[in-house]
Amino acid sequence: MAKKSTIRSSELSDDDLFCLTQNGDTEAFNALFRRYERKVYLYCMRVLLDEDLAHDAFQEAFMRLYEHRRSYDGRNFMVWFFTIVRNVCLNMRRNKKVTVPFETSIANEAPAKITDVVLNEHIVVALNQLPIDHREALVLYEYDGYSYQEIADITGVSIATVKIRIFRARKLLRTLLYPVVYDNGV
Amino acid sequence: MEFEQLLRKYFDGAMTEAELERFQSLLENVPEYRTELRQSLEIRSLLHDDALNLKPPTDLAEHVRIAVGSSFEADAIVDQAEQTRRRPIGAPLRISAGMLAAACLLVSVALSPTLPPLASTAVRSGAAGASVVETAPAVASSSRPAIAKAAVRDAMRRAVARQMALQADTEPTGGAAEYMALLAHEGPSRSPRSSAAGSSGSTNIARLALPDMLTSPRASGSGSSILTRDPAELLNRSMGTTTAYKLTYDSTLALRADADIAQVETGAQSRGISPDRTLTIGVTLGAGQVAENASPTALLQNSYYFSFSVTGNDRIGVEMGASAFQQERATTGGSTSGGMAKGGQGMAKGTLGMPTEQSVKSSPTISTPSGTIAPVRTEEQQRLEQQITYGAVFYDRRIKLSKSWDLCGRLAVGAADDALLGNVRAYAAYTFPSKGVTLTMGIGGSTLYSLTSKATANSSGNYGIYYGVETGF
Repeated sequence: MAKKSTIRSSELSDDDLFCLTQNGDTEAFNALFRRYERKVYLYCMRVLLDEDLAHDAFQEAFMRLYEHRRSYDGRNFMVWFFTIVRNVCLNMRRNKKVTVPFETSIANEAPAKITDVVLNEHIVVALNQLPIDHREALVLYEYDGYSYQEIADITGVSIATVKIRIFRARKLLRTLLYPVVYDNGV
Repeated sequence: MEFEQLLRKYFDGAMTEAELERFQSLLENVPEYRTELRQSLEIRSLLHDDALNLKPPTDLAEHVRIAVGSSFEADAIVDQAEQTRRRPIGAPLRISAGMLAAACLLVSVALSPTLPPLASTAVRSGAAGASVVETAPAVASSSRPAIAKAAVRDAMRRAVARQMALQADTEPTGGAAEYMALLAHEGPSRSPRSSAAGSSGSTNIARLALPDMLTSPRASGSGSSILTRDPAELLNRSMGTTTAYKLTYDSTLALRADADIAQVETGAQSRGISPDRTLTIGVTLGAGQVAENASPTALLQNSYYFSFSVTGNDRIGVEMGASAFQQERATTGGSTSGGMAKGGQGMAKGTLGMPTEQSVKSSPTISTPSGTIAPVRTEEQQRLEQQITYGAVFYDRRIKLSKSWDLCGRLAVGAADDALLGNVRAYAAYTFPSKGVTLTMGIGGSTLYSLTSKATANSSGNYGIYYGVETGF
């Protein structure tokens, strides 16, 4: 019963894909999911800095995408969806829900090198010391690759504020991270 | 500070040629700046490497993709079926409700009774001092203020003239004679409407004539005892007005009489139900509670209405509005749908803004082994936020408590989306002294009976506090 879009999904915008998704086109949803799964995951992982919470937030964000489908006004899907993702992460961070560990997440990954694990821990510790709004802006810019304007739309602040937050976050991160990563020869 | 700004622009790729030259010269001359740039670039590279290493687990991503994708697909199918089911019932019901409201309004207007006449009276003093009450020609009711105004003015003018005639010892002369001649010429059978039309001219003549008569020797002589019978006061008393209207006979009588007439007119009008409006428009806001929900659930309602006064105390009208409320519902579903059962049921038009808050009883975390995805049955309690729009025809009964306060009751029947609606409301109404605006506040309850819902309970109810404002003419 699944509808199939006759147009190649790569040619369609996010807005078009979501409209097709709302009409039951599973191919359109799959294309949209592939576009966003990595960005959402990176955001959840590096804003929440907790793997279990991030996995929950990842699921919850896509569930909310479905639940909030009626409130989508047909414009700028990216900003609308990332606003949902952001709210989910901020709520989870506030509530710090106790969750069942996602046992398969690490088991299925290729074994990481010791240096990668240590480096990952250093990054997590350093990011954890940034103010949440600075961290959020930095993650959206450096990890997800969004522009200042897009970050301003998602977070609801001005472009100037976004620029300042990212610059300060970089500076603080350099101060925190550089001595432990490079001076210790990780 | 300059270097920081340039460094920021460098990372943004927004440097001009001049800024780039300046940046290079700073780097060449200051070793600390070179170190800062190198470290910043290395940290940035570190973050990008970190981003490349982070990937969502395959089974998690697949599970979410299939679950949410199938929910969208299922939702589209349900939506299609819902639309097909609703179409043949919803439209005729709405049309029927509208026609019923219009028919009730038309019938009520056609059958509205003739409004009672205003019994304006004047006091004629007999020669022996006995008072004879003379009823003025039947004129319009309080709902016709212009005609009533003319009747009052006419009666008062006659009373004053008769007083003057008596005072003149049955031999009117000068101004009084002229004034009596004018009254005789106008005649008692003059219709109220023509009186109203010519009232301003008559008043002008009276203003000219009265002082002439009052300043004559006979008027100010011994016969002036008759003038102690204040015609304005007697008139006011006979009309039931409570305000003290003192009319003294002096040189400014005409001006005072005019002012008093205006007061008498105001008093006559105020005897009706306040506010005395034929057509009323109003808006109501409500807040309350959905009756069948165990836990407190908010209800918000707004409505707009216009009504027509059948009599002074009864009104009928039509009301339309919208209600937003929450409804609890228990459902059973698989974990693949993740508590995403379709929102809306029967009478619901759709979800409002940000959708519902759900309390999912099962663990929100997916715990299936990689590979096959086994749906897990879960029992869920959903709280659906819904909105209905409705139209209704109502009957409104007023009981006057005081000059400004009324106690009102309203009974309304109508239809909402695929549902029948009944509404009862009791409220107090306060009318401002200017009579332009009335504030209302009261309590009420509604019940909805769904015609299409397949749920076990087809009806739902709510109650709350309502407050509003109305005006009219």
